[in-house]
Amino acid sequence: MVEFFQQVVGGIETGSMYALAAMGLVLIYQTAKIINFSQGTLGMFMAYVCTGLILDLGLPMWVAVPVAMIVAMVLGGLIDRFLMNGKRNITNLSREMITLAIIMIFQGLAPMLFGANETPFSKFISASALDLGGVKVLPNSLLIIGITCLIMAVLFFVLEKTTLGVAVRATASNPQVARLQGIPVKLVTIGAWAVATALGCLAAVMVAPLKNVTVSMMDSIHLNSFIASVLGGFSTFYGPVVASFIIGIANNLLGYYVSTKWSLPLLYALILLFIVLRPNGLFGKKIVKKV
Amino acid sequence: MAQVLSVDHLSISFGGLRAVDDLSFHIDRHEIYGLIGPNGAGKTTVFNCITQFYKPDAGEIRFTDQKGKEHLLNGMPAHKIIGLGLVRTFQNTEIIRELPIIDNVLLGAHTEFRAGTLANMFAMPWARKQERELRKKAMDVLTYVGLDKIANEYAGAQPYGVLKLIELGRTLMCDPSLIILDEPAGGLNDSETERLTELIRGIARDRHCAILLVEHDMKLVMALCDRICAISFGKKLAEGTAAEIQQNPLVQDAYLGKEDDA
Amino acid sequence: MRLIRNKYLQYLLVGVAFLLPVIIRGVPTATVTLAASMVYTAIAALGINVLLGYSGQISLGHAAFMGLSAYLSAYLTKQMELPFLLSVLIAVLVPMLIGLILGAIAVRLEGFYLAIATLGFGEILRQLFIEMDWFTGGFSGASATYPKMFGHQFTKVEMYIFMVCLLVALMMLVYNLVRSSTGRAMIAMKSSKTAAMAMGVNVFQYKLISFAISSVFAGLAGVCYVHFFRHVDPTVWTAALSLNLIAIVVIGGAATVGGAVVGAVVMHGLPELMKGMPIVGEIPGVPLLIVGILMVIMLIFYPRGLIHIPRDIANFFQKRASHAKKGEV
Repeated sequence: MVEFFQQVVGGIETGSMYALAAMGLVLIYQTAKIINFSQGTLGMFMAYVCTGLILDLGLPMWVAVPVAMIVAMVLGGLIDRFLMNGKRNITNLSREMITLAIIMIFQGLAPMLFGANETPFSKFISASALDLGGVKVLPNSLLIIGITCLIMAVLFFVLEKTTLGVAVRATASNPQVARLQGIPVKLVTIGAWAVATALGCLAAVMVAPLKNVTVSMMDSIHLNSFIASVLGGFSTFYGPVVASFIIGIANNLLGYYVSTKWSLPLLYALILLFIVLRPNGLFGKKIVKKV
Repeated sequence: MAQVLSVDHLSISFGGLRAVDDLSFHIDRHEIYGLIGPNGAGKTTVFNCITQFYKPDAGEIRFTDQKGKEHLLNGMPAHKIIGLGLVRTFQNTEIIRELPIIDNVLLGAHTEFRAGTLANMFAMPWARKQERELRKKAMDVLTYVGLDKIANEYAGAQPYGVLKLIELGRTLMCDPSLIILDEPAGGLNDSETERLTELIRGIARDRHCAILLVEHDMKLVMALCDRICAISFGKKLAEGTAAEIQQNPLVQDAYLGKEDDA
Repeated sequence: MRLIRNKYLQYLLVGVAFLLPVIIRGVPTATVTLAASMVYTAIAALGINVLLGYSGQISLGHAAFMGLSAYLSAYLTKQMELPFLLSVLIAVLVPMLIGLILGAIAVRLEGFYLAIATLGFGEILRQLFIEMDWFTGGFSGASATYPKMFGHQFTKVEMYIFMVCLLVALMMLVYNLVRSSTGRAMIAMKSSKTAAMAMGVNVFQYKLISFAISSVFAGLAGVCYVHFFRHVDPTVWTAALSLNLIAIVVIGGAATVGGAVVGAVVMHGLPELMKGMPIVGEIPGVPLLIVGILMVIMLIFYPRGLIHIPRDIANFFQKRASHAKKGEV
């Protein structure tokens, strides 16, 4: 039983990272109606930037991470303004392909600017594990889970209770109508990109101590945040977040009780089966397309 | 006279809003039937229900094909509708901008093509022959609507009036027995509208098909339609000839607002 | 002039151009190897063009399909000692069937589900390539031989010629397809799903057809790869290769038959050119960066791709000429 909880806690920790990335994906999907394939790569690049801030400029981590997140927001905003909406009449398919091109650009830039070597990245808190009734929990894991919960709480509060949130949700449900009602739709999508890129950056910084900073560090996080968004349903904000934790925990449990090698394929197969039965995800609603 | 389409007690709602509410009407063969109503009355929604782009909550939609066989349209996949001889246009025109005008029209004959993917890949002679024949038919249609001179130009570069004509031409390729036109004159100027009126009348006459249309241009509706149905908030207000509709007090209220309310 | 406009002849000329390295004496083998890379990538990209350029669907897992075919063909010819053509048939049909099942689930939903499903599936396949070492040889990979057909043992050069012939044949098939009712339905579905449905196009069916075609082409590319390089290991079949295939289509020219070939030549030629240069050749990541930037430029400013440059230049001069004439009058 102790092992079970050990796995669950580990799952919640990785689930947190998926949740941050998934939240970014859904924010952009809901407001701009495109899938941002570059979410993971941008996070990876920002982890390099953060490493640079710490190692080359000697900033302490608690300064470097927020600075990196602000840089990420600017980067995200610029991408939306100049690449996604640089020209009128650009189709959503083209926009999605541009996000694919962004992957190539930043995967090329990262080794060029920061060198091709793996860089270690220290944890936020390096204190040794706490013993909670036999379950070993690192304070760093608690911090990761805590930060994620805090950010989610703030985002959901903003989305549900503020005028800003109303603007975002109105844009998500119908951009044309939102524009007619005086909502600055362009600013909303820029903001979505900015927040999403910052969330990706945070997820990458959390992964960095576990995997070192490499070009491929975000690949599995990115993929799992996609799968979480599919499982949770792209039409809600909370669905993908809940699904992220489910995937994190399920992957750990399958790995422990069934097989480490086959846990992920097994999990994907289960999710695929689930999608056959519930195409709109756990919480998604069926969307009637306007004709 | 035989009916071509009958709509019985059609209802659909979106998130609690009743877009169409217990609407019934029928269209006879060779008839030009108009659906009018203020903005947001649910006219386009009715079209989307008939062509199965939306699945109605209640009501039955029946269509009688050329051979006199009756089909229940409810639940049919949207792409199967055209095969029965029921074809539509769209309010904001749905044109394939990447294709030449003639290929846009040829798309209307999609269900006629016998060749499968492999036959097309290996350019089987019989498949090419059918393509040539239908291309000739498309050319005839383009001549009919007056676009034959620009048949091979790309659709994306054309003005709005031409797009409307391409869409109209596209509906003729399947030898329809009912054409549904969603605001055919929307965005056209007066002389274009006049030409269109003649064209629609000609289509109904020469091709022996019924036409169901939604239009805001009352002059066109009154000039063309044998019968008109006025709806408001998804409900039927009145049905009758152009003269009857013009005189109907309910219709006048819906359009001008009730004066006794003030 | 009319002869040059004949598409079949154009494709044959492309084939002849690709054969130059083996026709001209004294060309180093490295050049043939580079050209072979272009050819097998072009074959896969031709399929991606049907899927992406014509039907408007994104797949991020076609590299894995290529890998699966490569491993299958290596295994079937070497371990099971099946005849080459039979093993090619199996090696191509298996990924197609898997693709159809995956597609049947993902294609019903919004467009992006296919991209995610193929990304996930590709990742799983790549893991399997590493884990199932009885079949794939694990990290060290599996080996294969030059094919033997109708009692004749191919040499390296002959295998290359075979690949070029295959490419030319496939270009002709794709050309036939896209100017037929099937191609028209695909383009319609990409441009306006609503119009396509109203005109009787079964969108689900055509999405699946284009996915199946692209899987078959990816499979053929994988087979070409394994029987030319005679070795296959799991490092090749990553999501990055799938991404490259998309970049090839976009840069070369989406929804054109020749675009895939132009793109493949650029994609493989560029890093070679870079290597030769001083300074630039030393920096890691430059080719990737350039391809990425090129792709963005194409998508935003020149969506028709590099293949349209000659025609646009010709049009430009024609316009200039006609303007000049008007000026004289």
